[in-house]
Amino acid sequence: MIIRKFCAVLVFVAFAIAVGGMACSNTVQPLDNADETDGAT
Amino acid sequence: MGDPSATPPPELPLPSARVLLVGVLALVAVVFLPTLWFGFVYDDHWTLLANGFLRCPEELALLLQPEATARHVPDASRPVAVAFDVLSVQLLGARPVPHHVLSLALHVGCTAALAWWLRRRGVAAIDTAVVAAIFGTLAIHAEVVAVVSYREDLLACGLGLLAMIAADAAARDGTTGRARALALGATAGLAALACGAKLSAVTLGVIWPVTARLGPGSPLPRWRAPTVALLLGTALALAQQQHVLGGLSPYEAQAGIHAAGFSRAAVLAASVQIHLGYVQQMLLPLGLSPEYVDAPGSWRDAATLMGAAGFGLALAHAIAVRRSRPLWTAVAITTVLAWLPTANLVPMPNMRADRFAYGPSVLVAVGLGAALLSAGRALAQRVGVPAARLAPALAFVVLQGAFAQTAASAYKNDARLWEVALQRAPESARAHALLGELAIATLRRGGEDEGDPVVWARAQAHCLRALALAPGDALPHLCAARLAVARKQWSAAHASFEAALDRARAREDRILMALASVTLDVPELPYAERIARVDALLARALREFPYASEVAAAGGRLLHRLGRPAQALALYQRARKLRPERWDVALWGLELALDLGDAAAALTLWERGEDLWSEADPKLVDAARSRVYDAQRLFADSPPLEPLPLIDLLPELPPDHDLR
Repeated sequence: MIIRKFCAVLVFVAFAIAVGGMACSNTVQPLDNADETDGAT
Repeated sequence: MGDPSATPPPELPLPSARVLLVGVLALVAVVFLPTLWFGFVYDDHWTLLANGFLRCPEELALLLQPEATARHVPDASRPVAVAFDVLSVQLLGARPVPHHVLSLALHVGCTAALAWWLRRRGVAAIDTAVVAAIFGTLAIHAEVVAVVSYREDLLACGLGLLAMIAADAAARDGTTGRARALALGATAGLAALACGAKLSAVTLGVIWPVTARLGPGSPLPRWRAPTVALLLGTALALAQQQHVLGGLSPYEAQAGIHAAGFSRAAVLAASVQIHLGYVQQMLLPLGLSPEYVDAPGSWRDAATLMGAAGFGLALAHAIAVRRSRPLWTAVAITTVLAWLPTANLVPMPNMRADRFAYGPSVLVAVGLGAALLSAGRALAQRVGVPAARLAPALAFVVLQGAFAQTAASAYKNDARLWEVALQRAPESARAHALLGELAIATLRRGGEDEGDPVVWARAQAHCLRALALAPGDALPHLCAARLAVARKQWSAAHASFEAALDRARAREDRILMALASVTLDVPELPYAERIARVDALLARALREFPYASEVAAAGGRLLHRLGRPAQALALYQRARKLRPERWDVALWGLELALDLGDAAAALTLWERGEDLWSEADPKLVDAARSRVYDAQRLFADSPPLEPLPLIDLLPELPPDHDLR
């Protein structure tokens, strides 16, 4: 029973994180161009 | 949390310590799960993909010699991290998903190591679980987890925690004789490995004794010998660094980095504000960024003065209350110590980066866990609900986890990364230059037609802005050079590549090869002069960067163009070894066979390269297919112009391989 409650809490926290992540995410326009810079930093 | 006898109130039923820990680790993995589908970004290209040293495991011993620096092995100052990369690339290849799985596993492993350390110190299971959950979900960790090449921080932190666990074992009263000697040996060895992964672990030998005396957990009685073991391990790593690099800082040779150009006072003033930012981002993760612009600070700024005063007062308070609140004292002192290596006391290429917070956040998480549990206890007492004890910690974990997912999404691919970087740091010349290069790469892929004028304009605007922001850096000139190449303005490209080479502080290999390629097309130079210059540039690149796959590949292509097939083939073979997934090198080898009139070799290479062609540009594959077909039809029976072992370029297919 305790384990079941604990798992429910974990699932709730994970769900809250996912929803929160989507909510606070700044929309970054998906870019169709490719992502090869060949390491220029 | 400092009291090991602390137990959860009986009103709050909890699962076993093991179930708690497994649940927390699963939560940490779930938070960063989306990163598994990210690509290679940032330094991954330099340290993993284009780094041919990772394909030469037989030369691993080179990492212990000064030759590693002379031959520009990427990250030669971090031999443990490089050795780990050699192993991971040998086992996992160059596909991003397995590498991201490994990074996430290392992060979960660090969280588990932290929990193990706390439990061995006698910290209650629920307190341990809270600290582990906080550490595992901190949003400032997004960069380290999402960027494969930053697993050096994960390695250093994980090995450092293991060294502290070994030191704890050696410091206990019950550990004697052979067991203690083994524990001390493990302590020294793990400390050396942690520092070998990244020198930010160098303060381990002063952090651990503070925690041994003040907590978390009860004081450890025999702390002197483990401290000496930690210091010995650190000294060993520093001696190795001195031997290989000829200095203790891996950045000493990069005299042009911004932090070296500012006065020490200005750098330290900026560093105070930077660390104020780290603390703010650990509490409330706003403003996380893949890029921060280096700028000098001033000791007359209110933020600098108030930040320095705040840090000073906090540290003074922590020391003053060391008897009544030893855990706060330990957290404050050890956090300062953990941040010293990246506190800009020595000039670094980046004055600020989220990844610098990974190791110090272990101790911050311990302090945050204690504070949130204390607040939770007060709340539970006030509302009379035992479960409210965990409410502040859970709210904090949800907040951090949500921001962590958002922050990590910036690292999905290079285009998104540098777009986000530019939003966060609009004055970043690096972000402008790299976005310019990305736009030019899009134009290149468009083929021979004119391309989208909007993309041309974007590319030009980014390059010009980068040049205006940082004319003394290499990247803006590289951007301008690539733009000139795209416009087929060879003389302008040549001048810009030379300017980039003059300003480059590291990683000159790709500039050298691009300059050599363009030099062949500069109309102002006599042809003999062009060839002489190409030979000189290629010789320099091969001498200084023998493990750079781009040098071997582009060098082979140049020699191919110059009509030196034997030398070209040798470099193609080297390029295939250093980066076997490059389809273009295999295609160039096929073209070499066709150019030499070796129809049989061309057909064999065409058949052996079947798996590579599926990754290649379809237009180029179609052209190659037509040429192979024509060669069979027109000169299948003619002897080649120069007999070369061309088919060795690609491995023989297994006998049961089904050819189309």
